[in-house]
Amino acid sequence: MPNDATLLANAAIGREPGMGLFYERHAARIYRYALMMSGSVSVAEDVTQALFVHVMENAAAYDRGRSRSSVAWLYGIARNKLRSAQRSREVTGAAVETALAPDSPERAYRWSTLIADTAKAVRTLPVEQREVLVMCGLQEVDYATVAEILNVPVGTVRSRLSRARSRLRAVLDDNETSLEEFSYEAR
Amino acid sequence: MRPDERSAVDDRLAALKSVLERVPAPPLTAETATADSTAQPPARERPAVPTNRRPAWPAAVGIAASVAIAVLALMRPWSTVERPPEAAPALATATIPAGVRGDYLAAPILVPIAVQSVTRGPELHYVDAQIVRDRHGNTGVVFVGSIREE
Repeated sequence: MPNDATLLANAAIGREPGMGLFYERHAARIYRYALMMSGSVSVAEDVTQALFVHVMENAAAYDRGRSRSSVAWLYGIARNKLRSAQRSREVTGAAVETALAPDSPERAYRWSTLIADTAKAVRTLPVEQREVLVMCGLQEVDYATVAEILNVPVGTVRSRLSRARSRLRAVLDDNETSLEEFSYEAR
Repeated sequence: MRPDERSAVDDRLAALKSVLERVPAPPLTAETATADSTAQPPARERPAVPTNRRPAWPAAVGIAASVAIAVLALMRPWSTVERPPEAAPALATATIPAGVRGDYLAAPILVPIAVQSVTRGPELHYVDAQIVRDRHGNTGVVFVGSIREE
């Protein structure tokens, strides 16, 4: 399986496997990150598209010997694109809850309510805490990589994550929906 | 943070994570794909369009587009089209002006549409239609006016 640097090098000269596999490998992760950070399906789609257009246009310039991982590189671009997208327009359209809606109608309403409430609670967090929670808590990006993406010490990542969890707990305290009834789905 | 509180938050996050992980990436759009025409992935590698996401356009537009596609199908070969005997009553005989295809791209145009009136039987009406392209590069046909008699 070719690594990301090889895929980008191939993409730069139009050879396969290149951009297609790179997109397949990373697009979902970036889209979900943008979705959770922006709370908007349309913003997440636009950010994902803009990011990969940027990657295509700059594939040749990607430094194969760079110390920064491709994942950190992509998250860094995504953060910039998100900032631009949210500065340049009012966020409208379908919310993140739409994208997270269940496929099955079985207990869909209460399940989606619970998930939506959690997603909304995540959205109430300050950006600094939210991005750490999304990356570490929801996308399993390791602390060191997150520290690299944010250009902060690992200790700062840990403390932001801790504050995010505490704040999330406070927000969710008001929610009466219990996760227990969905235990088999949540596990 | 007490252990039980931590567990409740973690359970919530785990539930959200499990749902989030099933959210597919958006499909590679035409705009993205054409940024480097050589970089299009094979069709089987493209992420499927999510079925649990609301379409970028309102459902009404989709319905209108579907109806318009049916109308356009009747318009081929851009001349007089006779209703086949087995067709639905609403799709009565319609006469399409020659050259409408070229005009169609200079939207909006009037598209003839056969309407089954309960009291008066099949009638020919017209509706303004327009080919439009959304910001994602998707094209569709949208009725921009109400059906009217001519």
